[in-house]
Amino acid sequence: MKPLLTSLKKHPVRIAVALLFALASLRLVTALADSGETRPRPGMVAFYEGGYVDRISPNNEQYGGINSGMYGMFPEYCELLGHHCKYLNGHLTRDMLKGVDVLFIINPQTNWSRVDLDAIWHQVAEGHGLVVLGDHTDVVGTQQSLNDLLRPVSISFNFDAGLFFKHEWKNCMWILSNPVTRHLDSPNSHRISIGATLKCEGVARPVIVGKYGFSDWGNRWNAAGAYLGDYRYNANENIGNVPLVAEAEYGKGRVLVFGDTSPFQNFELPWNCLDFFSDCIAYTADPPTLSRRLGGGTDMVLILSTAGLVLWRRGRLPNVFAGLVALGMLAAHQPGRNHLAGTNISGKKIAIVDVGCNPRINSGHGDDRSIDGLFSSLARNNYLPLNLPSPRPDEVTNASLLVYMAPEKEVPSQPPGRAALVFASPAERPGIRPLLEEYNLDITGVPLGFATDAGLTKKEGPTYKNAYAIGYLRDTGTNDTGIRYEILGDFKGLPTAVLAENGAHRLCLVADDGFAVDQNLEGIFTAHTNNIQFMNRILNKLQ
Amino acid sequence: MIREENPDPDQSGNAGKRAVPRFVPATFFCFAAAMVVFGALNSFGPLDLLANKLIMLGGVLGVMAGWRAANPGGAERPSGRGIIAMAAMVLLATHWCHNGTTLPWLGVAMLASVQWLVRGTRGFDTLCRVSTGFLLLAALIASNGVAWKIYDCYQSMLAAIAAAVGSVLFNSEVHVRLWSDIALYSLLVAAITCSHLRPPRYLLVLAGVLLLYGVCAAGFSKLALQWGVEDASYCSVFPIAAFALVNGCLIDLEPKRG
Repeated sequence: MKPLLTSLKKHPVRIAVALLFALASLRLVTALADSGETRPRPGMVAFYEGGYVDRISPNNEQYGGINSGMYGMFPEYCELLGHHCKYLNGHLTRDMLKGVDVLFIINPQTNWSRVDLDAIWHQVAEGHGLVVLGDHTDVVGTQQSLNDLLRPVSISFNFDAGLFFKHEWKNCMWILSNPVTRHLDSPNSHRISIGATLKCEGVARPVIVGKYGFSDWGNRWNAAGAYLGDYRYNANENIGNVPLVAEAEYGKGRVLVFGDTSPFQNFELPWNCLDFFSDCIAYTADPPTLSRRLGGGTDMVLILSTAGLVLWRRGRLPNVFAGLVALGMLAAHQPGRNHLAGTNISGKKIAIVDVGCNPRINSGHGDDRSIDGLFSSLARNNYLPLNLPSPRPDEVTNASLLVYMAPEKEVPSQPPGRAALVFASPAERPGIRPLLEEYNLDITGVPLGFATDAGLTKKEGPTYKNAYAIGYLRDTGTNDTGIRYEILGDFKGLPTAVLAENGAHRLCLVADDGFAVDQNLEGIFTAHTNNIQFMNRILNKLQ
Repeated sequence: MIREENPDPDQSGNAGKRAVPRFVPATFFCFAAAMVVFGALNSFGPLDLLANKLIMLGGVLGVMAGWRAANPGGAERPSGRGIIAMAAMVLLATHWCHNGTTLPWLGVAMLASVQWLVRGTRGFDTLCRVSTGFLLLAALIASNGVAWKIYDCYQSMLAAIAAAVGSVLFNSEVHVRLWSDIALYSLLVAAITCSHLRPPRYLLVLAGVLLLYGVCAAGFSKLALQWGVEDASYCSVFPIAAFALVNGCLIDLEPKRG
């Protein structure tokens, strides 16, 4: 002990640097260990129904995005992550919330009683999570309820809409460092659209800030237009750094508040389920423990010591140290997607749409590059869709159907027992050639263009956007491979959609790379009934 | 202008010449350094990621060119490994810098390599210190609730200044919180470069920086009203240029260390 104290007195700087190195190395090791995929702890998620929410999913009674519901698939996506989900109604009590890890309250229209508020905040104070979502301009009369609910954590909804400078907040966000935001590494991966801005006081702090955004004041007279303002910046409106998502700690638990309800709706969950949605549940479900706080403190010590060393010391040591910290942080900031919890979710099979194979596919709504309509068709046919860029092998293993839209990159070979649905034209032939060769299929160069079965053959059939004829070897009589073909769609006798079965493998090829985009299938307010029914037929065949 | 007491302090052979960096290259330095830092933080407005990467790379080249311009015949030159380290750090920073995410860790490391690249030159030394301090503050603000509260108060103060300037210059109400990070960067430059001044002058310099923010913010508000917010936001480069000009003057005023 004595020699240690002596050396501490003699070389305090060296020992301090050695300790910092040890700390940085430890951080590096733990960061590397944490950098892989994560499997969130299964928990109970409760969904409070006392507000402007629904349980509707895409169905065959009504078509179009507007009729496809908002939160009907919320429980299924929770289950996909390994959580259980239950609905809560009426006034809340402490007993009702027993066993609940995270409580979601969305667009509440409740006049909270003392018992309600006591139950909710007691639950949070005990170390459980609360996620609250509201919307812009008090659109469904929720502002009072939201603000009453959130008073203990000093977060309130403004009567406004947070508008972006550039469409869908592209490069306009300031995403603060938080476990919730660790997967937000591409534009609009949070799926936040237009919602209210938040006022954060007291213990609250923002998580996502609209850096290049402004607060467009609402208009109480504009009932027909959802009380929205004039969509223009006016001199008396706040511009720049408007909070859109906020968090606070209360007792042992956490609260996460969104000014917009979009991120967790039916059409958005296929995009963010395995990262943002999963992180929100995991973060709020886990109470802020001492070790986590110390972990954050370690990071702060590292920042300070790195800056201090770089600023005040010369030589190689500071640079090596800074490099070490940077490496650790780099590893820590590249988390993988979370894991799927199973293959069969409430009787539904998982369908993965590989959105990485075509960079033109976007996450918008209703245009010639968005795929909400495909999502609806999959959901109608007992699939749970996930839009994933370059799905991992374990994800593919969990899926029953793989969908490729106009693949510009090479499509991986099909694993056994998985069905594939491909929309392609001759331009995409290089990417799908190996897959087509497995089934002796090919897309011929015969362009059929805008082809509609219904118009020419007087039958109810699909309308293609840019169709081609499919060639397959049965015509030539050389097919002795045991592959069975079924023509699902044709134009003047030329096949445009073919189902091929090769043992346990099934492939449906639609020779129109634009068939399943929203413009041709189903937009927010539009629905091409024949095409939707054609999709139903295809997906039924692939079951 | 502060004069050197040692006629050739860095043994560069430039004895008798005025201390480097001089005003124009110093301004160029500041502009290029600001481009690197704000490009890393994606603070240029709604530009796409490619544009931000190009801005950052342009900034790095600008720093190199500015260094050469400000150091004719200087003894210190960028080393090969320094350039490689810098380029690697910039690439890593752009990799991390998606969608405006503030990832200041890499900025710290990046600036460590700048420090490694060139040491002791007055402008660089200050910019390295400022940028490191700025990124450190950004890290604290982004991850700590208390730091955010302080930053929020600071933003409110800036908004009040912008409102006052707007009411005087344009006779209109203004609530702008844009470019508070750029103003913070310049305040740090002023705080470091003018630390040798007596308190009244020192405070006057800091107040001047804040006033400049007020003019930029109020001016932006006017543009946004006339052109719309998206078009106006592409003018982010002008406040950066204005602050770089002021920072260049401040760095030129800074006495040589050591």
